[in-house]
Amino acid sequence: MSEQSQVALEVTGLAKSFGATRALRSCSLRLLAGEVHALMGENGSGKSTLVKILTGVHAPDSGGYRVGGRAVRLGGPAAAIAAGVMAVYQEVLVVGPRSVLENVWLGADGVFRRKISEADKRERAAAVLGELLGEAPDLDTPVEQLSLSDRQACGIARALVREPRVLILDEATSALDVATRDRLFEAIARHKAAGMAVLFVSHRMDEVDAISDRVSVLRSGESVATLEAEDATTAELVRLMTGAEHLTDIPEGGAMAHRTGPAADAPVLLRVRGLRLRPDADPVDFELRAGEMVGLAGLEGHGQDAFIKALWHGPAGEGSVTRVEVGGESEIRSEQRAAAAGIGYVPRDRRGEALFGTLSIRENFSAATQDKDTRFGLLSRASALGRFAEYRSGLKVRMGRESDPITTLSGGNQQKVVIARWLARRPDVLLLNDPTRGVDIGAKRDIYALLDELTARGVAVVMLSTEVDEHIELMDRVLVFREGSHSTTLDRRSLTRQSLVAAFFGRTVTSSVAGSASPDGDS
Amino acid sequence: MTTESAVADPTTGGGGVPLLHTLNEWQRRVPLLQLLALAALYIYGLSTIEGFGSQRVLYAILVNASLLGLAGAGQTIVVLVGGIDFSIAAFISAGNVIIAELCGTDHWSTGAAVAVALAVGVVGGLVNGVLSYRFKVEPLIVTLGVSALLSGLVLKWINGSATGVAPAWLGKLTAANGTTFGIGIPPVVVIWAVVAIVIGLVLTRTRAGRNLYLTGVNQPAARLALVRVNRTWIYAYIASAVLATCVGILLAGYSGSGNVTIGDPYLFQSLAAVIVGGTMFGGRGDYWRTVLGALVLSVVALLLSANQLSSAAQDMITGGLILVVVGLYGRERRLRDRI
Amino acid sequence: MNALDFLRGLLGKRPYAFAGLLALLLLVVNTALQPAFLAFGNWAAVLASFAPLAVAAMASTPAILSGGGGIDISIGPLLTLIDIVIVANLLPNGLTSPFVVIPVCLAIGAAIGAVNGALVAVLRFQPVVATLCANIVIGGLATQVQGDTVPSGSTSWTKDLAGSFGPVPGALLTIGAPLLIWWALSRTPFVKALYAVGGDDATAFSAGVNVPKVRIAAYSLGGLYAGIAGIALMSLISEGAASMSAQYTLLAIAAVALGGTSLAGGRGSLLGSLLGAAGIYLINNLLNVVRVSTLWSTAIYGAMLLFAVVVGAVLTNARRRAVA
Repeated sequence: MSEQSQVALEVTGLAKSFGATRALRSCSLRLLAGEVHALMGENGSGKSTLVKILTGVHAPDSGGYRVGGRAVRLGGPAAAIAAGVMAVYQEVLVVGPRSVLENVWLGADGVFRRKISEADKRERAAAVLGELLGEAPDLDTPVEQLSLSDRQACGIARALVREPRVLILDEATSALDVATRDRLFEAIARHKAAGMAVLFVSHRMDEVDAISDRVSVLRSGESVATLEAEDATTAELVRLMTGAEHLTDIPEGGAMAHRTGPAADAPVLLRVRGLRLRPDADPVDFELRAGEMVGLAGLEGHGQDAFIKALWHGPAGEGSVTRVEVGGESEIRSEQRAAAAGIGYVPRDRRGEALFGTLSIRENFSAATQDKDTRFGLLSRASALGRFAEYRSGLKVRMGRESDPITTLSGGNQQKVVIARWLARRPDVLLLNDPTRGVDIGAKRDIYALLDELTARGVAVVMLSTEVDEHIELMDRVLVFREGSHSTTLDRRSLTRQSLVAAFFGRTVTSSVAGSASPDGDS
Repeated sequence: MTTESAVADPTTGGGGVPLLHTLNEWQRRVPLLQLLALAALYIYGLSTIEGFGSQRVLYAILVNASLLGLAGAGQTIVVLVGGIDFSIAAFISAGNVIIAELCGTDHWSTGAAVAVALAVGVVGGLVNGVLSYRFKVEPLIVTLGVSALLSGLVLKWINGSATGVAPAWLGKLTAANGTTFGIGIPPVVVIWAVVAIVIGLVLTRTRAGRNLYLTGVNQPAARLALVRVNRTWIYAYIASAVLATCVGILLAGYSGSGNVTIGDPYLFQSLAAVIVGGTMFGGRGDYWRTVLGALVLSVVALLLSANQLSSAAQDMITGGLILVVVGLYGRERRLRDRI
Repeated sequence: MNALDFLRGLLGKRPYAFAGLLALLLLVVNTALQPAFLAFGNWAAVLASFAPLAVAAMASTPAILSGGGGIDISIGPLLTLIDIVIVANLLPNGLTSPFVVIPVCLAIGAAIGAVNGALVAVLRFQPVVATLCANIVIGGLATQVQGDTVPSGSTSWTKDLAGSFGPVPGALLTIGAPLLIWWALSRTPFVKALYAVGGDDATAFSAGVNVPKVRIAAYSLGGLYAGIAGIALMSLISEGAASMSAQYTLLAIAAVALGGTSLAGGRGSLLGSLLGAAGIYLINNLLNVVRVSTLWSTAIYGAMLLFAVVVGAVLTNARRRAVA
């Protein structure tokens, strides 16, 4: 076998921007036939974008890739699959009402031309699902009747039955139960022996340890290093993912070094008791004091998102969220109640949950406070503008006219308007779900300054963030979530990039820069 | 090319040809395309058809547009909130027949008859709104069902044929040579103007109107911004039904008698006026645009008929026109952007 | 309660069961009140008068199944156009052979359907808007072709289609053809691809399914069926019927919804639409038989439609919640 034929996938200089966001700057990667190649990186490092380019969903702005030495024609998923690249995503992609068999073989035939006989399909689907699930489910059951883990197994089987040259598992294991995951790893070992290359994207260090031969690291859209598995220690990977050389960029304690946290006698504003985020996870207890800034962190999908939402519309399952006010206590059970009790919520998915895309800046700002602008039954523009002026200067919103559509603003300025929408209600507790996602650095600074000022006035802030630096710079303490529960609390003294990232992966790091993460220290 | 791209990917709004972008920006604020089309069509009429500029022709166009525009008012509201109303025709017919029968045959007072017609509109709209919101059934099917139910009940009530005659004063309202308080403008045009101002104000300057847009543009975000999405949705359907019923009452005057099929042409035409005007599903547009849409369609209809074109050819040209207009300003997102 | 649970289970698995049970019940009541209804000699006439609606309902189904807000509201005008083309253009010009007429009609139908499909799948128009325009254009075309006087005409095989070929009711052919075509297509991957695209187009796209091709094929198939419906209508009434287009559009969509097909796409069946159409037809017939004025029929079918979609929504929503 020549050197060339052993290269299953060769990626050279891929770059992709979405508008102003450069999701992928320059990514090069080489997968050998018969290896499991792990791809690691922080949230937003470009992993998903890379996968979507490799599977033909997005076309790259520059660069290209070759499968088995041959350049891949860029033309949608069908072309990528024909070239031998198949992916399974974190999001379980199945067609609910259709049968297991149809889901496994989805896309394998042409629109009118059958390429594989029904009997073959049944046999191979049963074999692959048997491998993954121990025992294959009834192939004619609608997929929507299976458990989430089994549904994902169908998605994985869809890739395996086509025997791709390159199999991409993009966080695909997160929906699997442990037994299925272990069987998947065994199956991968067999396919690997037969020459398949696996690109294994995972946040889980233990999984990467278990199956990968080599590890590549992406940071800020660039491929920074490829290591042999034995060299890929946790500390080294964390260093590569976080970019230790960036450490010096942040002044010690950040720009918010003056922050001292809430006064010792600050009243409790919000109390969480026995909140269970997943049926099988430990319950969470939490108290929030006036003037406090609390960060929520963790790998994507480990419960921090469910937690902050529970503070807004009440617990979905067991547990209670109580708003403590001078006048008495009230249980939060709906967003209306939360809003009435002085809680504000800035949602995560700006486009899906916060922006009114076709409406103007002014209309977006005043959406939740229209009552304050009503004069004789008519909405007064002047009133809304007057109210907005305060936040516009406070938040340094850079914009044209207030009547321009909100979409003419940059992501950061859009977010400022959304935050202003809630500030206008003058909340005592402000919940922010990843507010600086896709926000440029200048706008971030403006938002930080505002949050600092708010907490100085006694407002309590709970902020979910996927950015490590943000926690380190801003928070009085950070709650780290793992596997659907609160696993660790890091306070201001023990917060470093290393300690926080290690906590994401359930590890502790001792380094010269900082002390160790304290095991669960919620006060 | 389309403003849709700005919605799908807010950051690319500034790209593309600058001139095109500026035009797009203008089109967003002012229905430039529609205004130009209206002016061009009217001038074309003036230059090619003798007597096109006469007051008689103008009023004929305006009366026609008034009825169409009023029928499109409810549809505009429902489309803005993110729904669709296929029962408008039935409510028009119902309002029409109720007035003609109660006043003409049963000799009720006008006020009582109008009250009954409006009550029917309120109840019917309520059913539309509640069923489609509460049970998450597609509004298309719900409004079709309500439409059949209502027109069936009306049909049964009058035993198949309308015998009533509309009160004479109603006829004066819609006459093209009618006068309003001694001024030589057909009353229905004045009514339309007043309604347009009121609806325009409600949509742009009241909380109810704002909530309609918020709900239509982004229902989850509206809910998070504490808008009572359910009420907004249901009120929109009630408004649509009531407005359609009013059109039916006016049409009783126009045609002079009750007619159970009088609303039928408005089933698709009301939607066409909304779409040509530039109001799209989910919170883009306003009633002024529908007013323009109704005017454009009415001028086109008159031009085509004056050019000896059959109503068939008119339909074909109208259909093609809508397609071109919609193609210019709003289409769906690409599949690859949704993965 | 057990009966209710059973019904829930049945409807959950077979959404067309409601329409099936309804049609069966109505058939029994119809026959009990009017024994001649099911008499063998009456079959041909009954089926022939049922055929246009039945096939129109089936014609509306593929677009709806294809998802993405898919719907084709131009089916009504299309089938009346076909009807008119036969009576006004083909027959008077001596083109009476079924081997000319049928292919021409099917080709017109499929071609117009393909245009609708391309507008939706390639040019990304909203299906309601695209097919509304098609509705207006085709409606105009139909009126144009029809001319000022309603044309009429027939030929031997169209009479047989409305009557019978020997012992076989002719309408069995028009109703059977769509089912047969569907059956043949279900031997290819197309039908499964259609359901997959309708159920979750993003998943289908990521698995390599050619989503636009599937959608265009679905609208073309609907157009082809509308061609058959037009032939059925022409053989039944033997004259132009431009005025009937709106009625067929709405009744056909109602039949699809009654038959348990979700307007969200991906769930439902051709059989359901047929049964839904049967329900609507039999109700009309029943009201005739018991001399309740036919005037009631529209109201009753409206009420039934609302009842059916609400019941369907309650059942499927409950089931989805249970799964989630």
